Amino acid sequence: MEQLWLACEVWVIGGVHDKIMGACKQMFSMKEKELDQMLAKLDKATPSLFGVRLEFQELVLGDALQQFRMINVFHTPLEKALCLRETVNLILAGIRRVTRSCSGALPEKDGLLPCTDDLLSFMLLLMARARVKYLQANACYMQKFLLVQEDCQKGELGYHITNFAAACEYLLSAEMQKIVADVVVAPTSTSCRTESLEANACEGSIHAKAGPTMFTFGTSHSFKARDGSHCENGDSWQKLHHFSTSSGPTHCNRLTNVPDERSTENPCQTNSPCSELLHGNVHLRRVKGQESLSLGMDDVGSPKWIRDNYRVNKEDKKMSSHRRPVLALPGSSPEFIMSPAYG
Amino acid sequence: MMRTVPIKVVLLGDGRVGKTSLVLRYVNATFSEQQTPTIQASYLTKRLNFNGAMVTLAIWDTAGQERFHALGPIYYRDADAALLVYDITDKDSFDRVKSWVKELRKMAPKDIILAIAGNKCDMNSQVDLKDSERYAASIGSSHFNTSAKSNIGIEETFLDIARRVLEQKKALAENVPASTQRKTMVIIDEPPPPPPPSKCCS
Repeated sequence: MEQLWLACEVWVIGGVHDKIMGACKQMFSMKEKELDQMLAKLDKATPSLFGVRLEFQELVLGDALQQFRMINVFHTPLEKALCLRETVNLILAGIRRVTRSCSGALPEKDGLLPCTDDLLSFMLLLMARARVKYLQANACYMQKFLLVQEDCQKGELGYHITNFAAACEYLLSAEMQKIVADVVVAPTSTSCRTESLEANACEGSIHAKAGPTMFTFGTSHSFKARDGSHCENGDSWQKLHHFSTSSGPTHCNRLTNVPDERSTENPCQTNSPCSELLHGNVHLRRVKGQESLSLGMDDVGSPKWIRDNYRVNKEDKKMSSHRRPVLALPGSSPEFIMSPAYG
Repeated sequence: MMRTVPIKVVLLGDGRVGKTSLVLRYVNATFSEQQTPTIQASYLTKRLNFNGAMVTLAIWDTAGQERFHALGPIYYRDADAALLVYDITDKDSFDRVKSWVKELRKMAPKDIILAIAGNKCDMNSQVDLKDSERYAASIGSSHFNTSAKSNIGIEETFLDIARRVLEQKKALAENVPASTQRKTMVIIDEPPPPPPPSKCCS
């Protein structure tokens, strides 16, 4: 019976694809226009704007992007839904690579496992990067004309289609409009040459050659936790990557109070998201009259999330003179540049 | 061949109440103290043989972030059942269940089956369990105390959902007129035009 459904899907629906999709496109023409305008605004937005976790930002889309761009090539709702599923599988494969690269214990790896929020965030990012046309029409076409199984909308394909439709809906929501209005769109290119830290990460050479390295976040970053607590001097920075920034994600919970811990005996005792996070401390400093937060990092270990998420600007003079890199969020606007603190 | 009945169950509840642990314990029989949601937990299926009827439970996780809250109806549309999970050590999470129920009453299918699970029942409760049971009864929902960690009450919760959904489907099928069941459609065509008047003038 399933083969009959499949034949029907391919021959019948495939045969009338142009008519049905044409009608869908017409029906959603206004919304598609709005969506295109929104996606144009989001073209250079950082992954964190969509809620993509910092740990996954460097993974970013790769092959999934190519796969997703093929959605308009396919004619039947089944082919389109399978394309969507393959896209998600490619994203998941990327996430698995990130998880595998974290050599931490099982609980730490669990912390990197993707949830429904992650899938939705990646779908939003995918739509912004791929700039595929007729997203709404495709969502409608898949939702209403997928015949292959009676219960298809309750099955796995239905789940992927629902995520896709939810992402379309979210892009047109008032919340997204507000975010776009608030966000400072990142510059398209940097005037200076940048180099990914990924290249030398395996050698662990990003950290300072001499003495502890300190990174100070600009004051534009908020370090207020959801529960209203603020980080304090001496707190561990193990959870800091979860904290929201004014342009970043809001994954997070609270700063765990762990005393200044520099022991190398048990690198995992701080329950860090990655075992490479060996030591770290929060320091409150007064910089130019304003209080800011510093992350202290010993020269024995470089946190993977920094390696993965920040790029070193090799041409920065401060770096060469102080042998400390200036870090910037990938594609971020200048106000989010992290400057080295003074050890 | 016996037909499998698909049942779509959506999981709703605050973050950190243990939705994922609950569903992973049920489907995969695993529990991790630090469990966070996975794609496998975002969409999971479990096949059951329920009193001779084959059932496939399709368990859908929903996006939990506040920013995605408005997308809830997209996920629970067409759902047969909703499992609302709260953490018995967190009273706020129970209050959130009440707001989910209000929303479901407005937006979800009218015949959606509701079940409430007070999770982490291996720990000290901050919620009056009698109150929560009374509340569940008042909205026609069942209530279960569950613990993913200790594997308490989970099987019962999902079996109860499957049983109630099947009963409801059966009742609906019995109440539907036979003609509707056969999916017949009567098309009334335009009446044929009257024959032209005879031109004979005899």
